[in-house]
Amino acid sequence: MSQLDLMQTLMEATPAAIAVFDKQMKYLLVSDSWLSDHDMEGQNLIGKSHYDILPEIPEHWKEIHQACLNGETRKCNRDEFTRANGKHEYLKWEVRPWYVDEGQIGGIVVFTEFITELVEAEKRLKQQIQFQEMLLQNLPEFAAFLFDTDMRFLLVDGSALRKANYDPSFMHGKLMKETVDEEGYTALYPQYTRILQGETIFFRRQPPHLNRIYHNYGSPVFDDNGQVIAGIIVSQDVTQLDEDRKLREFQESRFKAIFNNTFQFTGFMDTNGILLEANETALAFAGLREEDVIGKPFWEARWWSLSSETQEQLKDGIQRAAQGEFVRYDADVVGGDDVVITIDFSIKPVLNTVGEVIQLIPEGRNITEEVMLREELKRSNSELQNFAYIASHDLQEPLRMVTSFLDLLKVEYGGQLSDEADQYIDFAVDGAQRMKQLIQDLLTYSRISTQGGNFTQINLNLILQYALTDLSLKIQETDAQIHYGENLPTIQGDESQLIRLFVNLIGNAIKFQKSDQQPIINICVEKTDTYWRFAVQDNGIGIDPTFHNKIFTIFKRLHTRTQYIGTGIGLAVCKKIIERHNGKMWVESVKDEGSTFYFTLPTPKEENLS
Amino acid sequence: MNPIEILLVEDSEGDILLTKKALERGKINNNLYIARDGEEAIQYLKDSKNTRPDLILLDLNLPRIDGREVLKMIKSTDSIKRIPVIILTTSDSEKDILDTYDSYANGYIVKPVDMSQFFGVVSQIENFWFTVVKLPQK
Repeated sequence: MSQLDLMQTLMEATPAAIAVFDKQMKYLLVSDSWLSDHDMEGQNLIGKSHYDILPEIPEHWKEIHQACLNGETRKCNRDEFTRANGKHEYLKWEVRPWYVDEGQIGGIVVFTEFITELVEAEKRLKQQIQFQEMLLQNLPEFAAFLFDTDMRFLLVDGSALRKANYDPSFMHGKLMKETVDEEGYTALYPQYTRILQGETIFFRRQPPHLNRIYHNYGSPVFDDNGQVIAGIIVSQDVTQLDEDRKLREFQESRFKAIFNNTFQFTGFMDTNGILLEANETALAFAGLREEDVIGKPFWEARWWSLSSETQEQLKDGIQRAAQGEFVRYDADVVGGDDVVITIDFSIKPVLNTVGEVIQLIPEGRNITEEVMLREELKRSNSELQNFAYIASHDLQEPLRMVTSFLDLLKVEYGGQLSDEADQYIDFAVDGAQRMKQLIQDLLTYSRISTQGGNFTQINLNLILQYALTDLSLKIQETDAQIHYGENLPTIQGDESQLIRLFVNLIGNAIKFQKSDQQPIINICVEKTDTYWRFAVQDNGIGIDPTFHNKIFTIFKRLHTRTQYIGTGIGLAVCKKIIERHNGKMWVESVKDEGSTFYFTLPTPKEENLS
Repeated sequence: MNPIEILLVEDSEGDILLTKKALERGKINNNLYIARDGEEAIQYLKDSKNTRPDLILLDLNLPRIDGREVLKMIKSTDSIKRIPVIILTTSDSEKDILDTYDSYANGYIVKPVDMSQFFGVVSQIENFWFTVVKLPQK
């Protein structure tokens, strides 16, 4: 085997792409890798000119070849290269002369190495680093420190550093000790040591010279053998978060203060009625601790232990509130020492933004006194009713004696005494007559509530007819015109009281007239969602606005008896009748132009449902 | 025509006088016996020597024994239960009306406040019970 053959054999075996040329750029030796790298596999290049094989070879390559044939060495660590098939590649090459002997150049050796993959990997790495740097620099409140086992910073960056007026480039390459003051070193050294000993750690730090708080996450970097070769610390500036938390805590404490110090009983529960929170007022009232009731069904708590009905009512209320209903009722609850109080109790659903019930707020206000007052008022009202009834009733008896014997005196002795005496008797008779009327009116008035009839289905068209029949004489006398539709409703009510209502109202409209005027009366009705509104309108003398409220008071008269007779009972009776029917009554009037009396009656329940 | 025998059970002197006047004015031929409370009325009726009344005018609110008790006693005593008892009272309570009719009262009249009306009522009582109605002899 010749030396050249030996060389060729060696070349074939080498993994590098090498070609050896003589001075005429003819191939002397070529490695297999050269052939494969340069798309010339299987070709026999030996003895052939490089320029014959690659006629398209760029001029600058020829120049390089020439320069090297003249003794230069040229190389490029990264050259771009486009293959015949258009593929873009990166190439590392070196061209150097080879010598025959004593400085005689025999030709050139060309090494090439395709480094495309390496370049691509490098590019990717660079992008990755850029990305990380970007993150570090731009992620608000973060900083990262990479340091070696000497605690020397290899890499330092992050927006949190700049915020604290640290220059990352200043820190780069410096020992940690050199970048911090003594306090910092004392604080940080043990942490850095732990990381370098292989620990993953968290520590919080508030440097005294900086008004900032950092959360630091440290971890070691291992080599393939599991040896710690570096450490990384990622710091987060939590100053703002901390302030937010403090604000939240402040707000929470403020809420807690209100929550716990209100006189109301309140809390939170989930939609199943499990109590999540109860305020101190509620707990203290029943002598309970939080752990007695929190996390348990609300109805099982001591407050509701009065009876199973109380508990069932609450359960039902919770279910309804969980469906979104605002539930409210008066409830009797049990407190410490078994004291029972009445509360105005409510369960309010709390909705999220899409309208789902997420929590329930139970609330209670002690209304024991109110309830007592309410009952007291009811009792005293009914006592008053009874008093009025009994008083007027018992007054009748002596009055009967007075009137009867005055009458008897007048009948038996009238004309036998002096004219003056006769006049005295007349005054006494007149006074007694009026007193009799007042007592009877008072009786009538008090009987509206004490001796009212049962409510039945009442067709108000018929009631109006009865009233008009009752008034027929007056209507004839005054030639009154009364307009009304046939559209009056049927309602639940007390027949005789409703007749009296219409008689009084229409009677008043006829009575309170200017002497020379024909009374014109309009009766109409309108329906709203929950009630009927009736109006009785007249063209009478009207009422001064000052008296609009007073006219409904018993025995309130706006005129002398000689102008308009009566005791002033009519409207008081009307109002009382309407109130007994759960309605309201009022007047609108312009003096000298007429009045309109309005009253409402609730629409029957069945109608409300439809 | 024989005078009508009337037992008036009444505690008010005024009413007693008014009743007398009314009978007078109505020109009613009568003998009026007066009991001023329930006890007296029962004594009168129990004593067989006393004239048996043709009609009893009975007030309800009386001292000692109440008119309601007197009524029950009369209507549960065979010898006198057929005597018409007219309740003449100031009470117009529905309860009193129902209770007394349940105890077999023969009439219930609320005393009119007006004197002439009262006189009218007394005349009508006489007319109804002694002209219109046929009463048993015993």
